[in-house]
Amino acid sequence: MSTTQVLEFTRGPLFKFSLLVFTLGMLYRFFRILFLGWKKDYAPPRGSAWVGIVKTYLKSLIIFPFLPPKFPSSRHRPLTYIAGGMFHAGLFVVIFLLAAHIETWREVLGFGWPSLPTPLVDGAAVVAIVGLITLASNRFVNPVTRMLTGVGDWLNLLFVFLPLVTGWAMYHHLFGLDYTKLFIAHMVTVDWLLIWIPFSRLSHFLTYFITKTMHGAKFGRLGVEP
Amino acid sequence: MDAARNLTNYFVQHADGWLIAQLDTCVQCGLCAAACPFYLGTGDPAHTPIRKVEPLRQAVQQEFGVKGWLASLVGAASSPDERTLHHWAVEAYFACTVCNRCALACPMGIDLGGLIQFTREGLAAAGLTPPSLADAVARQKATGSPLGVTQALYEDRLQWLREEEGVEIPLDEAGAESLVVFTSVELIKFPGNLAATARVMQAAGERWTVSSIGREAVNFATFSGETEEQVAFVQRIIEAALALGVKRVILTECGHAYDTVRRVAERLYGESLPFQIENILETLQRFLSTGRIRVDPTRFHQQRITFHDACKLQRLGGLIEEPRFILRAVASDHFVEMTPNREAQICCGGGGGVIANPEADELRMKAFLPKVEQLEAIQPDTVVTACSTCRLQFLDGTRYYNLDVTVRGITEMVAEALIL
Amino acid sequence: MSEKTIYESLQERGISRRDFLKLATLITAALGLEYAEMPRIVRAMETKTRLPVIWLEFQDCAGCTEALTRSLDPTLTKLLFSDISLDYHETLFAAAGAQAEENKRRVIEEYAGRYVLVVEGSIPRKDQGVYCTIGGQSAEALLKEAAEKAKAIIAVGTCASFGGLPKANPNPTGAVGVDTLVKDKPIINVPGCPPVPEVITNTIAHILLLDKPPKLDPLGRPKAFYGQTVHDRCPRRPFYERGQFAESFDDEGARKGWCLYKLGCKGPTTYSACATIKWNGGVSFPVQSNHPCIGCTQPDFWDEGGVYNALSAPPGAAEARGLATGVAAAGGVALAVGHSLYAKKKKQKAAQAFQAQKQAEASQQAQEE
Repeated sequence: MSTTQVLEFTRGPLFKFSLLVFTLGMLYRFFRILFLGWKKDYAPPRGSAWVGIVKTYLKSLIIFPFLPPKFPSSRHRPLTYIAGGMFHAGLFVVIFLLAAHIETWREVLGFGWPSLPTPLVDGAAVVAIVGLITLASNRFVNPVTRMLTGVGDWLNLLFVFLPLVTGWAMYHHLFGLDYTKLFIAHMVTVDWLLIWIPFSRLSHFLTYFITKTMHGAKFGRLGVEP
Repeated sequence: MDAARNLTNYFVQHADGWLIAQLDTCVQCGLCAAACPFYLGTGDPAHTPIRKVEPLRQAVQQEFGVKGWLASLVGAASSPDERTLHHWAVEAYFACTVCNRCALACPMGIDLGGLIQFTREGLAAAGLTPPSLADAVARQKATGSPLGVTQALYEDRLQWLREEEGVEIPLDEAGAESLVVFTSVELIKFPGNLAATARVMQAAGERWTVSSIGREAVNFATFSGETEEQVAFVQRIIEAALALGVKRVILTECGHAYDTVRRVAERLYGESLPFQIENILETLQRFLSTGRIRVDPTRFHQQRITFHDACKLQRLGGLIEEPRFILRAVASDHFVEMTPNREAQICCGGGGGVIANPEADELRMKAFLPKVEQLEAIQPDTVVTACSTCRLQFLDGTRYYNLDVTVRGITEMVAEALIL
Repeated sequence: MSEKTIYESLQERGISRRDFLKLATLITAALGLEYAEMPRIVRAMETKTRLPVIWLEFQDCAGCTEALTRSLDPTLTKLLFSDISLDYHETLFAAAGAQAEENKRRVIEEYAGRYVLVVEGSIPRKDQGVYCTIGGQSAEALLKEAAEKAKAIIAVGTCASFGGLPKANPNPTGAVGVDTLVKDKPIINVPGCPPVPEVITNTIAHILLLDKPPKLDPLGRPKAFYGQTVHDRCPRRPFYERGQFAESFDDEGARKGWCLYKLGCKGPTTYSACATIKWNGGVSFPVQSNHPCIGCTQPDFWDEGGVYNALSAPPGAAEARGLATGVAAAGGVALAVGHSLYAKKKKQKAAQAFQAQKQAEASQQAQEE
């Protein structure tokens, strides 16, 4: 089988398959929560649940990466907070704002959007990789996270690391490695990641919206800053 | 073996989408530990909040997860031994006050307080509640008070107070507008609270009463996680209020009562409840802002005064600005804030029933350490709180750590500053 | 009859020693050798005689021949055409029919072990090779016959190297490249559609003068010309790096010379000398003329996912959007429903078990009392 054929397989049928598994898995994860339902929150409202929801998203998703943390315990753990933010912000930029990836989205979704200049995205990728390595080492060094971390968590870190690093190596033709082979490695690691996400804690990026909304609603209803 | 099975069965029976969502979304970042006074005071990772719900996580993974399903096929499903069960009970009941500070710190918005409370419910259903707590609930069930203050004792004490303090405390008075419900902790340990409340009510011209039946604001079943008893205890207050036909129930200086009573009442009666439920902080603010009572703002002018936000009243009750309004009225410009404060305030370490367990004494003193740091940073003369458990914990803690700080309840401060 | 050496042939044509040395320098450079190697080339040309070549065409379009003969480097091409005896070429030969075939067989015998076989076009294998026959013989048979006594084989063009256009999905003729069929001879693949003419001539010159094939990459292509990708040497590379891309053909970006990645350029995955040697004597190459590279030196490039689809945009994902995604979504929701129902049943069982346990404990307690 020629390298071309391998590449075509990993970014053609295998990519499609991975996307389908990802769709199936994430919808399963999301809807089983909704179908199992939950009890009504009987806190008599002293404030508005919606205000709480808006506030919590503003504070932690939209403004969070750009402002110092408001809640004091994040200042106790600056490494987790900063490296976590760096990693997620970098990852977001790489996945959604790189011209090459936007072409992929255009093919998958049917529409695209403007991209960032590639050197900026390149920088974001480095930020994400450094953030990830920092998080990984912190997981080992910090006694709390060392106790909490299981095999699944290490695998999650690895499976996210590989696409980032192969993509970055590809763009930079690192060590004179063959672009096509790095492309194959990138596609294989991306395809695997897509399949792995719904069956691991990495699906948190979707269930986050459920817990965060519940959190904002709960504290909004109580009349407390979420 | 039975306890372990009961525990799992309870969790499975009450599992729902909320539970799956919470457990699915934790990414083990450990930021919850950084918020917990028990971790901050001991440095022991075992007190990491998400770790305290380990029995819950294991049960869900075993019963609803792929790994657990595979394990059961192979017959490798594990059951926790007695030591593990005991450890879980210690973590849930002694090393946690359900203060919910971890819930606010969690970047994923996981309802850690709810998870821990649910864990306690399971442990209680499996008979794994620590004996001191279980006994207190039994006492409250039998006598109406976890401290065993029977109706006779209650009325006795009221009489003594009337004579000692020279105040009027109406009992079961028909036609009263407000039913005031004290705690037996105040009755026994801080009787000054009752006297102060009586004085404030009189100054405000409020038509109030206490009830011989609905006389206990504290709800030890909230601490133990026994949901049926919890409802039964609240019912006593509601029925008393209905019987007296009051417009309002005022809960005095108790942390958890506010949320517990209001939540149970909401669930049982919803909007059809014919009376409001208020905390004494709201009452005091109401009186002050409408001019029904007047206070001397220079009454405490020699003292540096700070306020400790009680987790259940402030973070989980939303009564954040009321105490500040009140203290600014009586202490004008000598009020200083601790850092952090308001909803980010660090728990004192005594709530959630922890103070009622003698076996937890050493741990709760360690949990008080962050508080010591906070106090030393601002050097106040007086710490004011609106929760009697916090007040007890502060008294124990300041003595244990030799801090020269006076600990006061807020109602007493207002009563002392009254301009009659 | 002793054959003339190359130098002797050139002398006969009146080329001076000085011009001969200039020519030798040119050839040294063309072969990608260092200047110090020039004496080697000189000696080769002084001592070597003409090289017999048989040029076979199978399932081809003759484009490789066209490119070669239209090469604007007359000196080198003419040199080769006059100094290699092109003893058989389907397109270029005036002779035809049985006589031409007979002539070919004579050359094979006479120069056994000494001639170079050049193959252009793919070889069909399906239906006993009926899709390409010459004089009643299948292409496969003709290839095997000519390869048997060849010194070396050059597969010119992507069709001969890897199967090329005829091999594209669904490959109705069962087309394959030369090295699928011939295993026991040195084969040099010179792919391209067509290959850069100078690459063809320089490869032939290498064998002619140095008597051995040039260093080859894992796909059998001369490393000197196929060692780098078009992307590695592309003049538009800075725009790629900066993220400035043409969005559509001949738009403002394209006219400014921006990168053609989004228009489907396969430069990054294509090994070829197009960006350095270029075409028409170094005038231009596809990217320079505002057309994306189609990756024509790579095996199976026709199936490489759409000429105008960017490398990162797998074609056919749009097809998946409709039915497949709907099915996956429905599957996910169905799984969720299934799991919820299963969970609800579990909850009921747990509730019953719990109740039973509590009753058992209560009755036991009652008994004890």
